[in-house]
Amino acid sequence: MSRRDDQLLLNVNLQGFGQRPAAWQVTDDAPDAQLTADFWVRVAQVAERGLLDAVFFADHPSISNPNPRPLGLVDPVVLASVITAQTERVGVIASVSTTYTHPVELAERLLSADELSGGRVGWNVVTTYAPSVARNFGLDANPSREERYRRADEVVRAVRSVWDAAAGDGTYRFDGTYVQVEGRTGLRPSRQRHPVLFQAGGSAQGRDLAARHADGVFAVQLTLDGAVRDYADLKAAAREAGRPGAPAITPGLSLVLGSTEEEAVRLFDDLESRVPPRYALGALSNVLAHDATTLDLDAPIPADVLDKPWDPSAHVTSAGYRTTFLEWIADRRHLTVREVVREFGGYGARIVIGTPEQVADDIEHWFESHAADGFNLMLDRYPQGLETFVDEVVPLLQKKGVYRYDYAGDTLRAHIGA
Amino acid sequence: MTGSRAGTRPTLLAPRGAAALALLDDDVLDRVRALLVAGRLHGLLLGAERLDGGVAASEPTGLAATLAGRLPEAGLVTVSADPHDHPYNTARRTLSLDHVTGARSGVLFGGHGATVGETAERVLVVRELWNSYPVQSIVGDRATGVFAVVDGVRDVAHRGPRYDVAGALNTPSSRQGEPVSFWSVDGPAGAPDDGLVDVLVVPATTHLSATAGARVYRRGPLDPSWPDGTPPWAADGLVLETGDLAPATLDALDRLPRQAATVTGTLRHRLGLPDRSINLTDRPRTFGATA
Repeated sequence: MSRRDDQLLLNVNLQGFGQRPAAWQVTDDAPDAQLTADFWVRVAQVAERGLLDAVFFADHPSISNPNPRPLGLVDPVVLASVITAQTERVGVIASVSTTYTHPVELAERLLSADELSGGRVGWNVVTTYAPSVARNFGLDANPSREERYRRADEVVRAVRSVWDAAAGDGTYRFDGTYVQVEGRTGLRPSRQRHPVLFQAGGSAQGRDLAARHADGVFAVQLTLDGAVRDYADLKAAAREAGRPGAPAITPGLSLVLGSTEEEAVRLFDDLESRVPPRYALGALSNVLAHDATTLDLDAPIPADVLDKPWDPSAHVTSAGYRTTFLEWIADRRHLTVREVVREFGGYGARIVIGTPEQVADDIEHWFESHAADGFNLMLDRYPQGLETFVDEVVPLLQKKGVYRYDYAGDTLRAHIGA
Repeated sequence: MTGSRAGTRPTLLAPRGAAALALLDDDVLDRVRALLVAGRLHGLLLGAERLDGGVAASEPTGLAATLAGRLPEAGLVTVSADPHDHPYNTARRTLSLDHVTGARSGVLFGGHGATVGETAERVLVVRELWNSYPVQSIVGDRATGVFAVVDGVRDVAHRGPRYDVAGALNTPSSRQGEPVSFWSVDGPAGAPDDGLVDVLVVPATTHLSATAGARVYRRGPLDPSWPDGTPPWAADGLVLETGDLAPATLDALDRLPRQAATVTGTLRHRLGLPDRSINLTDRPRTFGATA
């Protein structure tokens, strides 16, 4: 296979104190540090030192139990402005729900943040599946996946009509089934014209939305073969939609780094031992569509649980995650539940536990295999894990010739080549 | 009308339209910072255009977050006047701003196109949500693995004519209890019930007979011809609007009287306002007792 002549893309997914649920228990920061500007600016400055494209924030408008793991305490668009005011090049990608946000408010908030940042903001288009959200907005349940995505398509087009108006005479109008907006904006286009669009859903509807609109995609891919297949399929779908080359595909990659493999494993084991087993089983339950706490920890997952028929459109949590999990476990059915929990990563990404050399080799292999254009990194702890990645892994990737020595431009759009 | 902290009349500068973006200019920013340090200004009000349905050149929360690090002396008040902006999203955004500014933020609520009752319900829901996840519940106890004692996290369980909101909010409460709440008394809208907000903001030329238990700030355009450089308005505080931040405007601001400059602490402290909160202990626990 010929080597790629483009460059690897790297974002970092800032999940509170770290991707591992116990990260807050081993941090040097105060428990409430996530409420300060200082914490997020410090972490983003590490990302910028590593020449990363962007820091990324997931979000949904409801509270999750902060035990054992505090997540999403501060609004990501506010953080985008805080971070870009105190950095020079790194982008910020904020998730905002198309189901629960008014399109004009959404459009103006993001475009304004983008303009103030000098063109370094991205919008991760999410439709929100967390069941706890609906009650905050006067609904008994979230709309179905099909309806959420039909609405999302209209919201994206309505948002773009506001952004296009900012570059024109200010007037916008969008008349759809779910969304009708009309008015005038006083905002101006940003340095990159408008925020870069990302998409994170792995369902059929999500991938369709990505093919039509997204500049970048966050995916869950647990197997190389599945990633190569889905990469080709999505690029083909985007080409058919008149968007050749788009979108940039960056699967999640969970990392625990050590100077030796044994050290990395010890760190991982220490972090996992601090979290109640039921919590990790909850993540497994989501991909199994079955209550994993009822399973024998020291026996394989029963065949009837793995093989039961399922309807992706009726799966409440991420359908893409369940799909890739079933592919991953196909040749691991002998593993006990305890071993599965340990090895599948658990929180929306494939996991690699090892040395900087092992991680750099893995990243290069997936990149050169056309399984990914880069990765959405999920480090075990912030900022420590990210500092190790930037200091130890980035130079190896540069030496391999797959990662840049400096930013090529000033905007997020330039960073990801959109 | 009650007096303000140490006899001062807190003064907020409200740059409208492109003037707000002028704050990003280093020279303008330095001048404004000097005005804050001198106690001629105490903060900024961003998004005033939205009070009367005008279009803004920037979104006020993002602009405040952008300026916060460079203007540590400024109170930062943002306008929330769009009735389409759901209170859960408003509460999240404004309380997040409060945290990243070190609890020196406030929100001026208006209700362009909405009735007083509708806006009052929106303000109440936002305030309830601001109180629903007490920041004191964060303990970070590594020995027990308990990050937060969640007994105090409460659903707001709001069911009103316009909004049905469960809660709790996913952002912990403010270090100043709540962000300072302002209410714009303007046009056909009147004042809310007693105690709903900290401060009423009234056009300089409007007569107001009842103060609804709140401080009253007067809002009007900056006028360089004022005798002694200060507006002749009876008020607990001032909101001075300007459509530009040109040198002549900054010179006019330099003629405002020097007052006690409280440039540290929360916005409540800087404005001489008491702590306030809504007691939600009668509402359902969001997570039950601490697991």
